[in-house]
Amino acid sequence: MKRDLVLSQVFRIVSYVVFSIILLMFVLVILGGIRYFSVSFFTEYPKNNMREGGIFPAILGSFYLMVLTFIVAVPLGVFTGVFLSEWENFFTKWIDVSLTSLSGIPSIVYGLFGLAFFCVALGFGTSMLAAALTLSLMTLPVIASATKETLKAIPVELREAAYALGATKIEVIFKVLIPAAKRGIVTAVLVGGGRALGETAPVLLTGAVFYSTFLPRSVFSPVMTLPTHIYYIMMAYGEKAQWMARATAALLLIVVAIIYSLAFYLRRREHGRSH
Amino acid sequence: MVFVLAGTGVLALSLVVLFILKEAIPAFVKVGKEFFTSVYWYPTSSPPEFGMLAMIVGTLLLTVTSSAVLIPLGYVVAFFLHTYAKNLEKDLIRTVVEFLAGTPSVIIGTFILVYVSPILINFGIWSPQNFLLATVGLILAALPYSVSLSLEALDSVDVSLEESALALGATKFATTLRVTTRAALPGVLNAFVLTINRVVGETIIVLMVGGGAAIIPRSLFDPVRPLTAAIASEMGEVAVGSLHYHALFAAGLILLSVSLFLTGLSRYLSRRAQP
Repeated sequence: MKRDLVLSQVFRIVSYVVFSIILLMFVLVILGGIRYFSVSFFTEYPKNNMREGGIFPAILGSFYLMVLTFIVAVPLGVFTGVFLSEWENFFTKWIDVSLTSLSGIPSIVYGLFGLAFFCVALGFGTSMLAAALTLSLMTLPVIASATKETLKAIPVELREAAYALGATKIEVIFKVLIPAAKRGIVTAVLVGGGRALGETAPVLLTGAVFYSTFLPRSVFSPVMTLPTHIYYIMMAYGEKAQWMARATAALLLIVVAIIYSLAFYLRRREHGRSH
Repeated sequence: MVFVLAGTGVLALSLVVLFILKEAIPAFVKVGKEFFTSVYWYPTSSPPEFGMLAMIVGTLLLTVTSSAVLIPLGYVVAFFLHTYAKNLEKDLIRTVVEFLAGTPSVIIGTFILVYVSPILINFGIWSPQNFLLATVGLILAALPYSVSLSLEALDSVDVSLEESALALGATKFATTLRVTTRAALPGVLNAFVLTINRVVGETIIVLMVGGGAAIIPRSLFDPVRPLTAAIASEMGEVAVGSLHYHALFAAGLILLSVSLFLTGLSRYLSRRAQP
């Protein structure tokens, strides 16, 4: 019993140390960057070797990239999830295995694939489109598996009631199941989006531009994003530009934290309802 | 239509494997076994040399050292959260860990360069980027996987099993270690496998804080350049179709094979986890 008491305290201390280190990192990154926030930081282009100005093109680039990724990944992910949950055949197993494999592939390998397939083989070049398609493939397993889990958790009575009323399978899916699973799907989309927003390596290989003085004109233009901007400044610029990396990191962390808070909040409400 | 859309996962995985393989094969044909036996990676000198041994060893050493910390640490935190933590503690620590899982790796890299790296100078270590810092970064990046997945495995064990052990007079510590962990063993092992997979594939952190040299690190303060970092930093400068381009795809093929093997292993383990 005494050993139990000692060990429980040791484990508690270890856990709290880990907890404090994580929290300290969040606080340092946000406080270390937020003091550089100003109106011009959000509305101007970088100037004078990243020493002055703002990150407007990177903000807009990340936003465009997110929208494009969602346009592709959300319908694909949701339909795949629906299929995995509502159909059961030889094909289902293949899709399931493929999605698990896709979810484990390192992001840099996605970058290589995007470069070889979208940029070179399909001829999109280094472009927003190639980056968005690459990110969509990475988000697909996240959205699909969460949609599947949410649908599987819906009580079977709901399906049976709809079928008893004479609804077809497609009607059941679109009018009963997807509305019932709405919150779970939105959570998955937010988590997937949060991850895609922070990805650096695949965007670096498929669609990133170091510095641009104009905004992307079409989906075939290369793009500046928040994470690639931080990366380039940290790697290629000196002390005098570091403030911009810190400020961008703070902004990116705040945006990602908001997205995740929303996702966790929705998930909690979902669980609160079902238990 | 659902069938066609759901097939995207299978198509995507086949395309990824096909294109990485297709672009990697010319390098294997031309360079041959030197890839795995030579430590001389001078892709831009003439004649160029493409020995990847130093980078393979770099990846291996980084994976071993960070896993040696990550796996026990993740298990201890999960152990604490499962066994001793009050509800509020559990919620709080788990939420912070989940936020860390969503933190973009470029932010962890920036945090280490700005806040952790300067600390080392106080100890007389002047290399601002080295093996130790890369390990710290990898631990931060992969800890959430280790904690959340181990916890999920421990929490999924039937409470009645634990209650029987406690009723027989076992301490809480002995119950979680001998009864719960044993019952959840495949799930816990699965957590370890997925953690390792995350470490092997991490790119941006090791690129930012590992230093650049492709040498076999002999001390904790030597620079290290794993396969992922080499791909991300060199891909921007190579001509499409050159031998260097193909050699980087060969590095990608190694990473892809490792991740497919590990996700296969994980799939096998999680199937064992479900009775």
